Amino acid sequence: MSKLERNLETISAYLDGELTGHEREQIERLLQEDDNLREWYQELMRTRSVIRNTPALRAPRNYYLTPEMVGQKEQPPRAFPILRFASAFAALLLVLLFLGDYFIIPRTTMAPLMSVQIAESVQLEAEAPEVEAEVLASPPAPALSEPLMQEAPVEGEFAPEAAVEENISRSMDLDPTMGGGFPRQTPAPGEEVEDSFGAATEEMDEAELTSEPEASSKLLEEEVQRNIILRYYLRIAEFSLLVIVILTGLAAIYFFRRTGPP
Amino acid sequence: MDEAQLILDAQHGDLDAFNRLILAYQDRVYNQAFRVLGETQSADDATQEAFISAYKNIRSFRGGSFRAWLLRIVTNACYDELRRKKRRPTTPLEPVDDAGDEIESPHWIADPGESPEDKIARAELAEAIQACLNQLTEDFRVVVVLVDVQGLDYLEAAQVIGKPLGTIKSRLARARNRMKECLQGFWELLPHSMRLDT
Repeated sequence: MSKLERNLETISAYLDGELTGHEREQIERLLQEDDNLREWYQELMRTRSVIRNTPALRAPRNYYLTPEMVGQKEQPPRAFPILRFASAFAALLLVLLFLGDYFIIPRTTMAPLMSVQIAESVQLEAEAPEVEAEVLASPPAPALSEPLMQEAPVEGEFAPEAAVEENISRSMDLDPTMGGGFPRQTPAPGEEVEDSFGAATEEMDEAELTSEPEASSKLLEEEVQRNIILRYYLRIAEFSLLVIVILTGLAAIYFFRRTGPP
Repeated sequence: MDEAQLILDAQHGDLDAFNRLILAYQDRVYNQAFRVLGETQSADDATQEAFISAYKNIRSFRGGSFRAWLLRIVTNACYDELRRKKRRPTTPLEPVDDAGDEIESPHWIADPGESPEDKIARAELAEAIQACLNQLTEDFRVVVVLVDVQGLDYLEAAQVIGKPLGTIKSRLARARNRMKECLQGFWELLPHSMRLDT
């Protein structure tokens, strides 16, 4: 670098006040001694002044940035994390409900139904002998009654009608718990003596068999009803959760696509 | 709201806060681009690019002079624009008058409050200065615009172009000397107090 160039740099920096104390003293001394350097300094000062007075231009327009210009997606709504969480939570609940419905509920709801079926079958079995007795009693009655009817007038001279009435009254006396019992519709005339005690015991058994299953079946029916209602509410809950999962999930996907991850 | 808060908000993705910063700095940034590039369309593009780049990189701003940081970005945008121009040179469209002749001085950019004579004189002076600036090499032009047009000190200018202080001092002195020689050709345009001895 020549001396002239070095002096030019120093004078330029002197104009801007960018010299140290020692450099400033040096250049001030030189400017006093050298007329050419002083003239150069003045010209440089004017040039600097001209440049600094350059009219400032105003921006021809506003340079506002839009989200599209900076590749910025729209801000997601504040509810976005809630939507995501709600979707996940509802999905979890739905899965739990399905699992519970599949593995737990069927056992508790099917049990009463099965017990009802069992009770019904027991009742049918209990009624079966009676039916059998009725079936057995009715057809052979005329065959059996004939000799008895024939014998009766001989031995005791009882009229068949009187014997029947007596049998009915006996059977009714033997069954006080049943409030008069369940009288046979067509009692066989010759059967009344042999079958009167048996009929009473059968009726007692029948009463026991019919009263207990009735009470238990009522309870079971109530339980079944409760289970049906529970199942109904479960279906509503599952459906509601499914709707929530779908809606919140779709909303979350929509906002994710539109705004990107929060 | 103060500048520091706006910068902080912009760093957290607040585009509105950054747009307020743009409003405060767009004239300076555009001036820098125009003085370095010498034409309005390129300056406009460079300014827009600079603000987009600034927003995308605002998290890298670690304090200090925001103005210097912005000027650094727009200066880099100008360098990019100049490189692009060198690769694909284009002929700028000059304004024409009613007769179809080119208008040398785009008077319409002047302050509308001035008298017509002042307006013309001011526009011609601005054009003369710009013509002299355009004669400088890019590196010299950038430094003289940063220090003499934007009013940055040497340290800020060094930060903007990423060069040592000595380089700034040297480039600025040479640039001024060339500007002095150039402006002597336009002495009649200069205000009397600024006229250079020939």
